[in-house]
Amino acid sequence: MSTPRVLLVLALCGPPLAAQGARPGPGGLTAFRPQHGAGYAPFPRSAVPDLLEEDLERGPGIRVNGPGESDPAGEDDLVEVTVVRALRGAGGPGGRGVISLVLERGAPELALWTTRTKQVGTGLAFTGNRTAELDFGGAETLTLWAEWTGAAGATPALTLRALEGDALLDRLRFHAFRGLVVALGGEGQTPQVPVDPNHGTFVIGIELEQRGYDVLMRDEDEVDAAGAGPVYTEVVNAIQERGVAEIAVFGYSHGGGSTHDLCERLDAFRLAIGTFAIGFTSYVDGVQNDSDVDIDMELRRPPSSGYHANHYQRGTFADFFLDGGAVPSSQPPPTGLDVETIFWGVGATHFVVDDFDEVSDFIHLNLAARVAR
Amino acid sequence: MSPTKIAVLLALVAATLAPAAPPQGTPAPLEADPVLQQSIQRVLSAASEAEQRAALEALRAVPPARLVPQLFLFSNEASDTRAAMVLAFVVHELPLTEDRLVQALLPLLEGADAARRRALGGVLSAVERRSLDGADFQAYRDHVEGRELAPGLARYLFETEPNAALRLVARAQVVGQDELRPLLWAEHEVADALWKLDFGFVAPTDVARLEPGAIEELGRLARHPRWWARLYAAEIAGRAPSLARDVSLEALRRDENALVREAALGSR
Repeated sequence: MSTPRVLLVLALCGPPLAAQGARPGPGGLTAFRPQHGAGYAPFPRSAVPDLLEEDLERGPGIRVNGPGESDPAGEDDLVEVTVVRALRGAGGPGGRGVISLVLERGAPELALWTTRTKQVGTGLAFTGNRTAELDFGGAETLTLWAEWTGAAGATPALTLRALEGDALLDRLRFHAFRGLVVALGGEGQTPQVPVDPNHGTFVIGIELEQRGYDVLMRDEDEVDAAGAGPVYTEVVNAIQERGVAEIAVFGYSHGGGSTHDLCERLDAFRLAIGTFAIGFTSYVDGVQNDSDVDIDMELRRPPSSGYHANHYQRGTFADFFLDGGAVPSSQPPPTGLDVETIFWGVGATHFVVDDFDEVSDFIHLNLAARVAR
Repeated sequence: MSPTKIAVLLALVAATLAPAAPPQGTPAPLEADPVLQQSIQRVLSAASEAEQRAALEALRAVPPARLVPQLFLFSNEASDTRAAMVLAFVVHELPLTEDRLVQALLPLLEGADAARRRALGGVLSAVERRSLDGADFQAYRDHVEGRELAPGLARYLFETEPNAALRLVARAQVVGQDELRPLLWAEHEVADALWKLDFGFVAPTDVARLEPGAIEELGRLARHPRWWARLYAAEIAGRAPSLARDVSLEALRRDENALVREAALGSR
């Protein structure tokens, strides 16, 4: 069998062989979930699973890096991609030469850099959408940073090829984010790595990121009583600079109140912001957040929300009488669900209502149906 | 131990602590008081409503100027919602009035870093009536009128909502109408232009053509003899550069007042 065909077979059979403890499979591409600021926190750095590398929804997402955009948290729109050089060719000393690899992009708006902040002189040159032979510098792995300057909603591919036989070794299919999910925790909850399993809002946020969404997980106090603050700035930047047009916002306790305040501000200033829709919102035991000492139920529906979910319980001394309540035109209809009226929520307190799988699943199912990635 | 006995015991502890409370107007040290923190913890860990009431009664005996900062510390350092909401619960159950909250928390602004100012602002927001149309700082008037403006309070007010801050400080500190009226007019002109920018009635690129009055007034405030007027100009220049064509940021960065320099440098 010729070398290219061997490579091709290896490429097709890579995972099973690796699973059997065979030598490393063919060189491959791995994409990571989006960055946040100077790193990945409050998310873990996580690779997109091989099986999802070309999935148009759950695969690797990439933010549009708008022209002249100044990311509020610093340049973080580039996606980390690693290239592993596991293939060995027949040439070279002792027959352990290496296969020459190149990358091919599906569109000229997809750029590759060797630095995450696009330092001058670190961009990979393309000729006809194909790079020169990749220079691993003697290492087994090459880390690159992918940048997308095209339209939101596009699905550019990045393909790894061996020069010998032009064999296709691996391919990533990015989806350029059109949507943005905002997750706001309760008072005292700060998103962190690893996620606290009792911070239900952030558990959902991380799950959504793993399912291909761009998620902004924030302390609810980053939304002030007028809806302003760092979260608002981030969302407006995403709409104006990154082509984001679909927003989801959900929050627990004071995070529910902040969900209302953020949506109210976005809706009021939409003329100055641009075109977007708030496709999904959710309160879990929403409490107004006019201040840290506000304990009023959040009973106002988020302005202009296309779909609002609402789950709440009734407070007792055990949870300082904190609770949400019925919100007009909410799901499940007509005003949301008092979880204490259903078997799995009997006796719930304010401090556990955000951790029910049933609440989490309701948010997952209905958000995914209404907000694009 | 019965809830009644617990209440008596806690009240005694609180009464013992009470004389140590700092006098009004003295900056309260922001250090955890272990005994008081334990008393707050009892509200959190009460096993029954009666026990919770007893724990609250014990806290009622503590002077607010001493209690509120400790509640703030307790909640601010909490890592779960239950502990973080103790402050809100106690404030409502005792209850502690807005005046009490303001009196107890404003001293903590002096020397506070940005994170602590944000945290304090999260509580003080209760008295500020923040909305899409701005904020109302009248709750602070007694702390501004007839006295030198404390730098920590000034920094907080102007970084939180500069227009509400200028209205409050000007009305509280300026007596003569000849000086007050131009200040209020300038604030009105700038606030009006900001409103048009926020709501999309004027684009930043059209400000020079459509809002010359606001630009002129902001430039005048940047050269005003009152340092807090210049502080206002520095804040607005950072938020709406299109309005700051007549503001010399270079001059503000060399201002004699440290707060003005800080705002102009954007170094908070």
